[in-house]
Amino acid sequence: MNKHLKLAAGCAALIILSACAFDGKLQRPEAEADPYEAVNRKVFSFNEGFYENVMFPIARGYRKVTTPFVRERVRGVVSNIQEPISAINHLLQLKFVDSMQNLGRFALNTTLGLGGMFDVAQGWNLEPDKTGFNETMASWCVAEGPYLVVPFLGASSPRGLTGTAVDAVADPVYWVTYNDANISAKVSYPYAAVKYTSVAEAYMDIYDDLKSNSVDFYSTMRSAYLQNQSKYKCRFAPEDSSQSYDFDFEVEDDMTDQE
Amino acid sequence: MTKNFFKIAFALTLLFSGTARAEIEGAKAEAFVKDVTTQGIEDIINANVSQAEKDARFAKLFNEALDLDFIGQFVLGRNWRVATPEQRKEFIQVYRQLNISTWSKRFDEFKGKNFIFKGTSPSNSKGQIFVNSIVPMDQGEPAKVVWRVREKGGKYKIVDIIIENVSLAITARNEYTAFIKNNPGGIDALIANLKSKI
Repeated sequence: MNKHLKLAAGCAALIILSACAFDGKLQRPEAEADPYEAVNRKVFSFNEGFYENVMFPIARGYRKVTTPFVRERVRGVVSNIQEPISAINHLLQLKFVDSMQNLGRFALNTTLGLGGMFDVAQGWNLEPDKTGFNETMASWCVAEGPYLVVPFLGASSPRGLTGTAVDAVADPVYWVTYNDANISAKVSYPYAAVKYTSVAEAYMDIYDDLKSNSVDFYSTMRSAYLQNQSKYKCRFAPEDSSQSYDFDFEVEDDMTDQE
Repeated sequence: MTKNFFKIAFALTLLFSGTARAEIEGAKAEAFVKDVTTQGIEDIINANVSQAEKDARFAKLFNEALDLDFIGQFVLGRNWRVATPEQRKEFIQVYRQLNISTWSKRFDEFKGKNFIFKGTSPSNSKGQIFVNSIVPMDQGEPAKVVWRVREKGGKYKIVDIIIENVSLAITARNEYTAFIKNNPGGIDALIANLKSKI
């Protein structure tokens, strides 16, 4: 347990430090967001090889031996196990209603939804609303930091990677099996395998689509990741109602004028 | 007293007619996007016609609904300025073709799904507005799809589609700018590369 406390203290310190250094912006402009591009590109092509030669063949095999109905149940179970992570993070974001909603979903779907296989909570208007420690840090004004491509995991940042690590520790499968190494090995690895296969199966078509239409896949993925992250807002920043995607969309010679 | 009353009444009328006009624009933009998506779903995805006919209908709808001259120019970024008239023309043409073929395939995946419209949000760009919608998924949270609509001479056109906060126009611009920067062949190489994908 000591380890967890240390981690929590470390995270708190990180948040306070970053919040002190906060200049009002969670993200750098895209042109300056990737100072390690040369290294990132190398890791990116390693990941491409890993996804295409290892993960996707496994995912295709999984797709072959399952029906969409079965895969949907599997995704449901995995996502239900992770529901408490969202509950904890909503609590840390001081979103108490959302946190209760996650707990309500977890209770209903675990029991009546047969371990999460069926999302019965939606019938009680408890809509899915996921969050993680990355968003928690963003809400407390921790800046994203430079763009990073992480081996196996893909697009991330120092804040994103910290979020992934903390969420992994907050995963019920991790702390329920924590005290028994024997059970932990028997449960954690199959759980991780199912989780990543399920995710790979769900994303590989989008990956193929984006890659086949891109002239620079690295830039496409970087841009998409950074834009997606820009949706997070810092609670101490001045109220700003404009959307992150509301860039100045004008062109020099408007050809419709010439018609 | 009466004079003041009229002054206030006049000011109020101005005020309300102003907001009313803004609302109509939002409602019109939303109706326009709704109409485009309904046409796409009813006349293309669910229509009982040949694939060739579907492709033709999709190309027509796509060309009418999106302002690809405008988007194409935007995505080339500052390279538009240095491009020759021939390069500009060729780029717009190939960009249009690539988008039609890509989106026609993506649209097929949309079978059985639907858009739920959620009103509009203002834009800082003149004559533009965001139409908000969500797409319920088989599982998990619905996907957020925002349509950027531009009004020009009373006509509405889609100029950007933003999926889960990711703008297609910005993504394409960053991608093409990076490609041209890293490629000695420049704009011609970009055009050739895009052509190979159609």
